[in-house]
Amino acid sequence: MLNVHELERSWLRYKIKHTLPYAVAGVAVITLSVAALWYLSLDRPDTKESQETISASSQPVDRPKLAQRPPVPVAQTAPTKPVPALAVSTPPEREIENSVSVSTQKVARPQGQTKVLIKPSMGFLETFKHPPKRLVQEPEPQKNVTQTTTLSTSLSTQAPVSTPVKKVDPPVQNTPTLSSSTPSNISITARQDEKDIQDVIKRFKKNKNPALSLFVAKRYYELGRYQKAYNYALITNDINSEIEDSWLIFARSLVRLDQRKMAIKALNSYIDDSDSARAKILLDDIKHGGPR
Amino acid sequence: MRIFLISILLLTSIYADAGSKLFQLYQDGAYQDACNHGMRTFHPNRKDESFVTLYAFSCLKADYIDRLAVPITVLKNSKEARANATYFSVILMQKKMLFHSLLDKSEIPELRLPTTDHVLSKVFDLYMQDDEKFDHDVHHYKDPSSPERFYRLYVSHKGPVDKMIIEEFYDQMLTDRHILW
Repeated sequence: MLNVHELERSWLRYKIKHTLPYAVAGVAVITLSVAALWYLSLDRPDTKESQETISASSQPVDRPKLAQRPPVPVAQTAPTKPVPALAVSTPPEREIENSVSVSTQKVARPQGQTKVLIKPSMGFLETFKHPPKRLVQEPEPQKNVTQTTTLSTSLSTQAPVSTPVKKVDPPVQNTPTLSSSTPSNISITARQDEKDIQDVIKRFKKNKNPALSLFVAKRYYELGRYQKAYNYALITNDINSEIEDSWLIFARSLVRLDQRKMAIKALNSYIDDSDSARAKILLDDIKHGGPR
Repeated sequence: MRIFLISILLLTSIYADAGSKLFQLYQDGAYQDACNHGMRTFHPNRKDESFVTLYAFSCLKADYIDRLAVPITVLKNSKEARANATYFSVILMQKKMLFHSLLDKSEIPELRLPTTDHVLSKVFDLYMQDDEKFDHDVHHYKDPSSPERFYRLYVSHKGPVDKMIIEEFYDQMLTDRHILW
């Protein structure tokens, strides 16, 4: 006769001994990962960086000076064209290295000295806007980015403008086509942004909602179609003259169409009525050569 | 065995889409969150210069200027990266010099340095032109390119750390405040 209880106990002991190493390893990995996550999630405040004492000696009586170079006399030059440059201090006669991604220009200072203005390069954002094609997305049913509708241009004739249309940058952006490798073979294709607008125009024709015409104006402005942006901003202002964004798009479109004086006049009349801060800022920008 | 695999999967999934999350936060205007997120996920993405650059711009917009130090050293492998590193280094240097001068009443001699379009650079240039910079604690500077804009610069001694504060005004209205330390 077999002693079942004894056999079960010895089996249990064997099982525990068998699984103990795996359990210990698992617990150790979990502990380490939690500790690593906690360590990485620690917010290190900048107070630690700022508490580094500056070793420069400074006394209230005599004011010490930092490392000094003799000032280089620079002839005053007006900012004419952007000069690509990248240097901490450049003597006037030295040629500045051409750099495609850095845009610099000389800024006239009141005392007659010129400074090199360095602007950042934002081309890196394209890698986020347009990720690599090998990226696989999760399958989503009917994920067409835009809708295609029939083109309707009758609205554009309602607000004729005598100024000629000028084609200005940027061009229409096409988002890349991504395809997933899932078994259901769902392909995600993005179409031209301009066709997005037609659906909105259709809806606007039905209900004359100024929010829709403002949306269309903004989209056309983003696409570089400043003539159409101007037209729709004008339509929006006709329906409701108290929408600030509409006036701003209206003015910006006029500036892009080289109608700066008209833009300034329009903004001045809007500011007189509304005292809008954003309109004042835009007016100020336009008077100083903007908007960017 | 299963627990080991699950823990490995958890670890790898955390860093999988750090770049897209950073971009999303940046586009939403949550610059402080973007900067903190970038700092947390910096190490595995340190070789991605786009990630590092976006992290640096997020910290710049969130006024965490000191955090630009690491991206400045990392951005060096492409022309665009070096250009942006220069941009950040100018701003960081100007911040440090301004801070030192304000707190320690230290004279900064005329140095021919490049400038940027960042508000810190503008205020630094105006501060350098101020002949009476040590005569008052609060500095008001008008923007020479725009008469309606002016800046107010002062040091706040509240709290454990002294802070340098730059306030932007447009037509007597406060539009932005930058607190730097």
